[in-house]
Amino acid sequence: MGGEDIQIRHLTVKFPAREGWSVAVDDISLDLPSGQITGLVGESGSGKSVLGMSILQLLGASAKVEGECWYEGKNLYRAKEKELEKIRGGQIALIPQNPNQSLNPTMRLGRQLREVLRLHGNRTGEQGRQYVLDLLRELGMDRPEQIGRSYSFEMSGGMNQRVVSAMGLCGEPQWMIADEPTKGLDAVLRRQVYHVLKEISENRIRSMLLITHDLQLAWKLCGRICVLYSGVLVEQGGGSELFRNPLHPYTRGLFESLPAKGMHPIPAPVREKGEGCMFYNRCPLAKERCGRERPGEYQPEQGRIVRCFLYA
Amino acid sequence: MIHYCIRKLLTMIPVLLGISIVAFALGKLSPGDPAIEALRRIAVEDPTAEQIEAMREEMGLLDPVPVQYGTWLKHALSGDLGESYLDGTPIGAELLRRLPVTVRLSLLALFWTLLFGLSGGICMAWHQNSAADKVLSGVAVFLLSIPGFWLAIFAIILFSEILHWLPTSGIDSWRSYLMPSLVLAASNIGVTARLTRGSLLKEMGQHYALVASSKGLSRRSVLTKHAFRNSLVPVVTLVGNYFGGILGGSAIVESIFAVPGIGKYALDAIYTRDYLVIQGYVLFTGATFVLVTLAIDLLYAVINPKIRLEGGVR
Ligand SMILES: Nc1ncnc2c1ncn2[C@@H]1O[C@H](COP(=O)(O)OP(=O)(O)O)[C@@H](O)[C@H]1O
Ligand SMILES: [Mg+2]
Repeated sequence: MGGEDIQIRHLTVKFPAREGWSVAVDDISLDLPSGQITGLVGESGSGKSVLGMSILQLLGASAKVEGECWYEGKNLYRAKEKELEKIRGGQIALIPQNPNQSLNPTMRLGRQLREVLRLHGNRTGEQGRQYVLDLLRELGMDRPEQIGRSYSFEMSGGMNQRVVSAMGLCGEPQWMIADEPTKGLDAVLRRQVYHVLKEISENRIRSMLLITHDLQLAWKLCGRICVLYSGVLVEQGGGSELFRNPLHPYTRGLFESLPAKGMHPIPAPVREKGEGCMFYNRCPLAKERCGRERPGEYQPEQGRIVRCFLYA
Repeated sequence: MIHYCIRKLLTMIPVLLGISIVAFALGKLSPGDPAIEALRRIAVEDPTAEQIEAMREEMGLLDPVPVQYGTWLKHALSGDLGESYLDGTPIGAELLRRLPVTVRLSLLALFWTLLFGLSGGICMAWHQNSAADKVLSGVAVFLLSIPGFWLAIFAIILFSEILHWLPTSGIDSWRSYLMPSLVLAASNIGVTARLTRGSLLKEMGQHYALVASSKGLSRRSVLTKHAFRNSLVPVVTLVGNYFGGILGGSAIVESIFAVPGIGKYALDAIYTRDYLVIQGYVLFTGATFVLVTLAIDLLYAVINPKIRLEGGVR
C-alpha cells in the first residue's frame, strides 16, 4: 500500500481505565483519499480526535494503538520518532482544536509561526518572515506584522483560530487534519472559518481530514463523510449522497437533530458495550438480532458503507 | 508594567512597617533599663535617681511610645541601629561589615539550588518514571528531609576530618564557602528539583505542547523551547521564598562552620541577650526578605508576558 492516500487498517485505540481498558476507537478501517476533504462527524466523545491524533502519533504514552496507518509506503504507527518529526507539520499538519489553548502563552506568535519554517522547508530570515506575513494576510488578517509581535492571550478566539491555521500551513504539507475548527465559535466566526478552510482547500492543500460535529460545515466542504459513533465507524459515503439519504439509524438521528430539521434530539447515550451493535440501546429500529450480534460492513450502493443489519 | 511595579511597591510599605513595629517592640520588651545601661557605659556604676531621670529624659524614654517609635525609626532609616550592650560597637556598621560574607554564602547556596534543583528536575521529567527518575526522587526526598545541622556535622566529619579536603571553619578562601553553602542549599535543592519535575510535566501535558509536537518539534525542543519557560513560574516563587529564607536561615550553618556573617552575629547576640543586635537583625533581614520578594515579583513579569502586558491579574 502507498501513495498520498492515508489508509487506516484495523485501528484500535485503548486507554488504561480503572478496570482494564477503555476503548476509544474500535477496529476502524478507513481510506482517506488524497485530493479531497473527508469529513469525520459524530457527537462529542465518539473518538474523532483520537482517530485524528493517532495518524500523527500524538496520543501520548498511555494510549495503546493497534493497527496500521499507511502513508507514502510507510506505516505511521510503526515509524520512528525521527521520521514522524519530518512528517508532522511537513507532510501532515494539524489545525488543533481549542486554538486559545493551542498556542504557547509565553512565546510571541510570530516566533511560533516561523518555528515551523525552520523545521520544514528552506525559507529563512527575511524571506520566511515575509512568507508568514503573506499567509496571515491571505487568511484575512489586516495587520499581520502586529500579530507576529503579539501573544495568544491578546487575541480573540477567531484570531487565534487563524493563527493556528497559518501555523499548519507554514510547512506546506500535503495533508491537513483540522480538528473541530468551528467549536465554540459564534455564527459570524463559523462563517469566517468556513471561508478560511475553503480558501486553504482550493489554493493550498487539497487533502484534508475535517473533524467536526458541525454538520453544516461538513456538508458544505466535504467530498466524503464518515460517521463515527462510540468509537465505531457506522457509515461512510459521498458527502451529498449521505446528506440526501442517510442510511444508518444513527446518522438519520444525527441529521434530524439539526436545527434546520427541527432539532429532534437523539436519546442520551447508554455507555454499555455489549455483544451487539453499539447503537442498539438508542436505536429506534433495533431488532432482537442487533443486541446479540455485531453488524458487519454492508455496501447497499456504490461508495456507501453502512454498519447496520437493515442493509445486510 | 509600570502599574504592576507601582502596585507591588505600594504593597511592600505595610509589610515593612509591620516588621519595624515587631523589631521596635522587641527592643522595648527587653529586660533591663536602657537608661541605667547607658549610664554604665559612660562609667557611672551607681547612678542616683536624678541621674537616671535625666538620662531617661535625654534618651526620650519619657515620650509617648508612638513618638519613641518615630524617633527610633528615623534613626534606623539613617543606619543608626544603636550600639551593642556587649562592646558598644555600632550595630548598623557591624551588620554591614558582616553582610558580604552572608551574601556570598547565600548567593552560592542559591546558585547550587538552581544548578542542581533545575537540572535534577529537568532530568527527572525527561526520564519520567524510569529508574533514574525514581533514584533522583529518592535523593530529593532525602535532601529535603534531613536536618541541616546533621548534614553539616556529617560533612565536616567526612570532608574535613577523614578526607582532609576542606577546612572545618572560618573563611580563609573560596573553599571555605563550599561546605556551608552546599549544606545550606541541600533541602532547597530537593524541593526545587521536585517542583521543577512536577511543573515541567504539567506543562508538557498542556495542549500547546501537543500542538508544538504536531509541528514536528522533537520532544527535547518542546521541553526546552516551550514547556520550560512556562514551568518556571512556580519554581521562581519557591526559590524566591527560599532565598529570603536562606538569608535569614543561614544562622545555624554560619554558627556550625564559624562563618562570621550576620547570622552568626545574631545567634551570638541571642546567647548574650544583646537585644538591640537582635532587633537590628530582625529589621535588616525582614527588609531584605521583602526586597527579595519584590525582585521575584518583577522577575515574574519578565518570565510571563501576561503580567507584563496586562498589569498582572494573578
Ligand atoms: N488521553 C486520554 N486518556 C484517556 N481517555 C481518553 C484520552 N483521550 C481521549 N480519551 C477518551 O476517548 C474517547 C474519545 O475522545 P475524543 O476522540 O476526544 O472524542 P471527540 O469525538 O469528542 O473528539 C472519550 O471517551 C475520551 O474520554
Ligand atoms: Mg475532539
